[in-house]
Amino acid sequence: MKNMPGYFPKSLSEALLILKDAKEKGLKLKIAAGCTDILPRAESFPDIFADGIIDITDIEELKSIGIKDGKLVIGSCVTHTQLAESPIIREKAGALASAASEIGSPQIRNRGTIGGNICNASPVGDTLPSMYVLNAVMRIVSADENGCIMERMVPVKDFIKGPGRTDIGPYEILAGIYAEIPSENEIFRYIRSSARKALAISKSSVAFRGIKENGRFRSVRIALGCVGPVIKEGIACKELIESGEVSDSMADRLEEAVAKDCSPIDDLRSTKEYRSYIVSVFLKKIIMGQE
Amino acid sequence: MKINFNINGIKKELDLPPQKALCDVIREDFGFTGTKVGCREGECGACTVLMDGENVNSCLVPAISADGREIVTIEGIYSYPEAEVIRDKFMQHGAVQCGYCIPGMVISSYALLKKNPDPSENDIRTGLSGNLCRCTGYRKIIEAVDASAKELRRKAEEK
Repeated sequence: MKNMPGYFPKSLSEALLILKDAKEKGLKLKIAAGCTDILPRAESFPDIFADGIIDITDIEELKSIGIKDGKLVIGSCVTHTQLAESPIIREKAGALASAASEIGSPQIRNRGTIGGNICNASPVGDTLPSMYVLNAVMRIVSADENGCIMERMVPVKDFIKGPGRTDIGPYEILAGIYAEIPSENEIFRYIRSSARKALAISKSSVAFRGIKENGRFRSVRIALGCVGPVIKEGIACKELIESGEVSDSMADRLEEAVAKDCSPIDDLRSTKEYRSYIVSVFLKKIIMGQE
Repeated sequence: MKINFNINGIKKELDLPPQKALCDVIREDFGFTGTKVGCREGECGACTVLMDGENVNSCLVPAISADGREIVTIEGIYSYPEAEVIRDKFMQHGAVQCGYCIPGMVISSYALLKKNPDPSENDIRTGLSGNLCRCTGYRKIIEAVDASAKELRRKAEEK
């Protein structure tokens, strides 16, 4: 096994200076937060570490959950256990807490982080659909040549570029996530389908947000997971659901709308037919208030 | 690179690749072979250890991420009286067959009961959902954890 530099910074400024230094020397470090994917991946791709590894998991200032200016502010190194158990997340964005509580196993949730889940940019990532419907914005930080901290904000749908690809540069860190808080009269749900409850990657997933008044939905946002190379926005589904009063005939037309919004594939976990079908079932349950 | 380990209270500074898996450090560099390695991808839970009091898969932890942290394996956990109760209940309920998963099962049971002293059956199943057992069918393990919880609560009340 190749020996290489490793860093375990305790503060964000320390981490950014390590990255600045690496940039000046032309070295590429693998940034990890939680590390639950990195060692299995290194078995197949030993070059994943490039010139070294920097584990940002222990940076205390990236581990908090709070509310600022009416938005949820979630540090990138918040673990799935923290998300699932946080009174703020459970009260203000319950579906995100339930999404986090279904990831992996207790051991994985104790280590895996929301920042790591987002930066993996997997279409099957369990926190991502909620990020889309909550219009989450990513706070990305880096140090310039003078060591001053630079910051930029990128909405999640521009942040995710493709499977495994994001907008983040090699010397930048995702510091935190700003997400909208659904209002009290809003329905916010996340449902996923998987072969079993624990340690299973989703076959399909749906995040839904909308306000139901007098039998009609408005301000609907839908994000579909595992049905394309990136998370898909359910635009045709939204149009259908907002088109009138919720009814059986609306529910029957959901499958058609799902087909317009996404084109899932067959793979080892599921088939395209099942994926589309189960997404429409989940949406039906949500709009009919059956779950 | 030099990394400071604290495993079962034994402190060592070792020069290791930062990406070496913690389970291998535990077994090869510290000789604690009670920690078993199964899948190396966080599925089976045989390598579960406590890191700063939380159960984690030691096959997924790069050595660098254990720097300065307190690691407890199955060999170290018996310094906690709660773990002795769990061991006795596993024995009484016949919860052990081949034994390969048991170090991880005991660590996860301990972590669960620390967090939730009065778990429902569903809580126990969720708490142990990261630990696979191919022998017992889980029934006896769940009974053993339930009995451990009751015994630990009884002991706490006695105090």
